[in-house]
Amino acid sequence: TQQSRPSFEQEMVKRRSISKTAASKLISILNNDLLLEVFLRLPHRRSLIQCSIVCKRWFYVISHPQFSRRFFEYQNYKRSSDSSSYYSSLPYTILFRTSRNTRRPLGEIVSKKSEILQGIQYETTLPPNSSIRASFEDLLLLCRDWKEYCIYNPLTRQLLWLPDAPSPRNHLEKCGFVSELMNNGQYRFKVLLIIKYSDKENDDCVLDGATFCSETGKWSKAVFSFPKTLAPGYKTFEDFVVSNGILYSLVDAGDVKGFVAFDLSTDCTSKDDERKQCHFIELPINFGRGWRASRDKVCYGVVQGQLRLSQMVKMKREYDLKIWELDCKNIDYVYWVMLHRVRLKTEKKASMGVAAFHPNNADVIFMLRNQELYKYEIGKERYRVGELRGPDLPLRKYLIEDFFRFFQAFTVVYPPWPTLIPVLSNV
Amino acid sequence: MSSSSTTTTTTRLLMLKASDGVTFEVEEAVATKLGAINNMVEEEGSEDLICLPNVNGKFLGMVLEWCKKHANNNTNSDKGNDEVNKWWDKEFVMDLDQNTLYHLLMAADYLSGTELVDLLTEKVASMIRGKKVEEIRETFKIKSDFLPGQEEEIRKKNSWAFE
Repeated sequence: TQQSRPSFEQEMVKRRSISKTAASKLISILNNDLLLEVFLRLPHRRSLIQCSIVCKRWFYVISHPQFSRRFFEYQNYKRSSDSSSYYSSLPYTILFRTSRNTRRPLGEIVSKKSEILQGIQYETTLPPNSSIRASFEDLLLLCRDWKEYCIYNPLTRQLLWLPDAPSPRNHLEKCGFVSELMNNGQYRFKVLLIIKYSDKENDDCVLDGATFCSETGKWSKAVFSFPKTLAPGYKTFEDFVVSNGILYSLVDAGDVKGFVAFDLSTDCTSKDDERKQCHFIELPINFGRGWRASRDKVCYGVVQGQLRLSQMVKMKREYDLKIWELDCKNIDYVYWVMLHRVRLKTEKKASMGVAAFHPNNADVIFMLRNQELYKYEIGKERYRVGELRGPDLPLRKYLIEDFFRFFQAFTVVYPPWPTLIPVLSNV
Repeated sequence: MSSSSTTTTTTRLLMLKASDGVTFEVEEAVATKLGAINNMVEEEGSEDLICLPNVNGKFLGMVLEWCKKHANNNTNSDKGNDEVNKWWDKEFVMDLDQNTLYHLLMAADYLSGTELVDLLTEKVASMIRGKKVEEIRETFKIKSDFLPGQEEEIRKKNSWAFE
């Protein structure tokens, strides 16, 4: 039977113009299909772009629209077949600041051995006068002079200023954003702003805010509410973190009361002023209440895409550390699963607190201990000084209360294909 | 294998004939690791002799060596075997010269040996990873065929990737 596919001998004849001394050039005459298979196995778009200037044919294969789709499919396959090794291969940066001045340069915890992080200089490349307000995957939400917001990709330096949000605005407003890859291969992102909250209504806490959707290119007003009884006397929210497309913020009423969760996945075209439900998520059953739930003892963050919560309380000569993950497979019934409970021995005067979660490794957290920042493998009496960099380093010695008073951490995880910020069509 | 189990499984043997006339006698279970052969065998009334006019004996031999290893380990798969397989694969591709790598890859692709294609394309990718553009061209003896200015333009458009 005759094969339809050309043999490799025929292939060689066809490409003889490229290859004269075939023996050492053979890889360069691989057919486009196999070449594509090779490129799929490169770790990051950065290496792909570098490969694309090797020769015209490599450029053709890599810039073909089909390639990005195949690349995403391949990454999805890798993530679903072995999620922990997929995640552990992703470089990350945890940007943090410890002062009230949000424009102050940040410190960075960086993942080791990452080529792509070499080119990123946060303190010099951020737009002037802007401060980081939220992060999602490889994007940052920046705010300039408490007025204008922009989405920024620190790796590709792509930057998009958003139109002005509805007023009146104030400096207490909280924000967060989420982006998602659509079926058409484009990214869509949504920004949430909570401008004002009041509990004057009888039964509900009411949150006035606005949402922005990149598809419409517009802000629309949004009012959210949740029953007041869930968080009596609540005072403040925080900027949002995102897990599974839902935006979460801690509710603090002197002590931590729970989380509010905003689902922005409903369409962008819903009417202004229509009241939307936000969900209140209570704390885990075995979460320490009262003084144990003061903000400096509580940390939350996203680990491999899932929301985690920690509480660390001092008892005599040891610390009691608990870590939970939110299980939200069933959206109508979310609950906390306790993953770790460990006792950490300390010297008498030592003070400790969880500063941030490792975004990709479920068993590692970053801990402030004896006024220094350490990488801590949960359950092991092993602390290693984190890989830190930044203009402020080495860290000045922090008192734990000062450290956590203004401490904020923003985790940036760099997927193999950087998020492309869409151009707004009607702006 | 215990000698007492003479009963049930009569392993069918296939003859694979390469382009240069070299033939290989292999168990069906080994040869059907290759999708193309699996398809031929599944056809009703297929013969035991399969001619492969597009694959040279040397490379067919290597492909079958790989199949044999992986077919054996499939029957009693456990974690330990998985490790052994990985180690074996690593050895298999470690010292391949580009000539062999190319012909193996073409043969594996032609015979639809998906896992072997995975292994070999991964090997080629490993020869690219961490290299600068010039080093890649040097490794694969590729000459840039861009018009003057074209390369610069791509560099400029994606300057972040070259920092």
